[in-house]
Amino acid sequence: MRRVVAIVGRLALAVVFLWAAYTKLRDPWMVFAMEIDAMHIVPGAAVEFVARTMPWFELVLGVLLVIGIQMRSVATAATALLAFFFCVLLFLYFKGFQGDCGCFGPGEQLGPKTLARDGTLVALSLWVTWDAFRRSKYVPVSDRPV
Amino acid sequence: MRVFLFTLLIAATALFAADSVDRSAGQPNAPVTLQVFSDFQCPHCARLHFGALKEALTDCVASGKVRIVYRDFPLQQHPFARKAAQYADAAARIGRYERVCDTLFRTQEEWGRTGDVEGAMAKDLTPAEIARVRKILSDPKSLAEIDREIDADMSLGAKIPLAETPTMILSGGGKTYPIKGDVRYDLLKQLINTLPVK
Repeated sequence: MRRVVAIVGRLALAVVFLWAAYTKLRDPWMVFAMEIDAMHIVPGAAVEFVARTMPWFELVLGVLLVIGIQMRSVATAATALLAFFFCVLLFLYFKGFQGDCGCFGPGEQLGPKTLARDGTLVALSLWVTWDAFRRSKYVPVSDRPV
Repeated sequence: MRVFLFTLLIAATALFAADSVDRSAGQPNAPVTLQVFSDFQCPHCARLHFGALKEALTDCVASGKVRIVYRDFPLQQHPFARKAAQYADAAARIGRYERVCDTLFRTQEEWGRTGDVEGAMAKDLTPAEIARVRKILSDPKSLAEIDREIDADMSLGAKIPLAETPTMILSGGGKTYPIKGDVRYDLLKQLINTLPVK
């Protein structure tokens, strides 16, 4: 049962990352760059780099989460990224920022719902990471008995 | 006769231009349209106005590629924003919209405290122009028309839906992008350049 929950959790995270990547990659990178720039937390020179690379990083993470390989590293990276996003959004929210959160393309204003969702995702990712490390020996998902 | 007709046409155009409500910049047939929803009391709107929008006016608007359409979206938390929009729209009727926008955004802290929008405008308009603006606003019919325009802009913004200012809607070549905040012009220009225009 625990294994099934772990797989469902991992796939749920994968869907989130793939959707986040898709909503950014379907538009020109400048759209995401302007969302980042409006937050005033990334130095001007780094905005383009972040806007161009972040969606691809999310895509790679999503694909790796679907495949289920190198789960310790992948889950740790996913958790670190989600925790970073959550901290940034929390900071912006309490700073009074009212713009887009930039999570899933344009149109989602930062608010309590965003924070609740992102907090839940961090918790889920932590659990998936803990589950990956809990196993003393790494076994690829495809080889695991159901 | 020809000369007379031509003169009449020019005079009619000038008269129409003076009386029509022009809250846009650029050629009407520009392939790209940038609708800007802003609030005169909003600091981010002021930054956008004097930043990316001014750069756009001298670059892609001047080249005929982009037309900027200004729309009012006075937020409830700003008590004098609607009043400022009324004054700006009245100024548009005498062909002084751009100048009044500059003044209102530049002095927003000042009139935002006192509500003296007319006093702020008096710094950049002539007494005769101020008198014309005052006359427009004191006429119930004109004021009602201005209020209808503001309400129409707000309804349009609500349909998008728009929750903050400034928000821009960039459209051209069948594509539309909402852009929020006081963005950098270099990014905005690059996005404009991706639009497939003829």
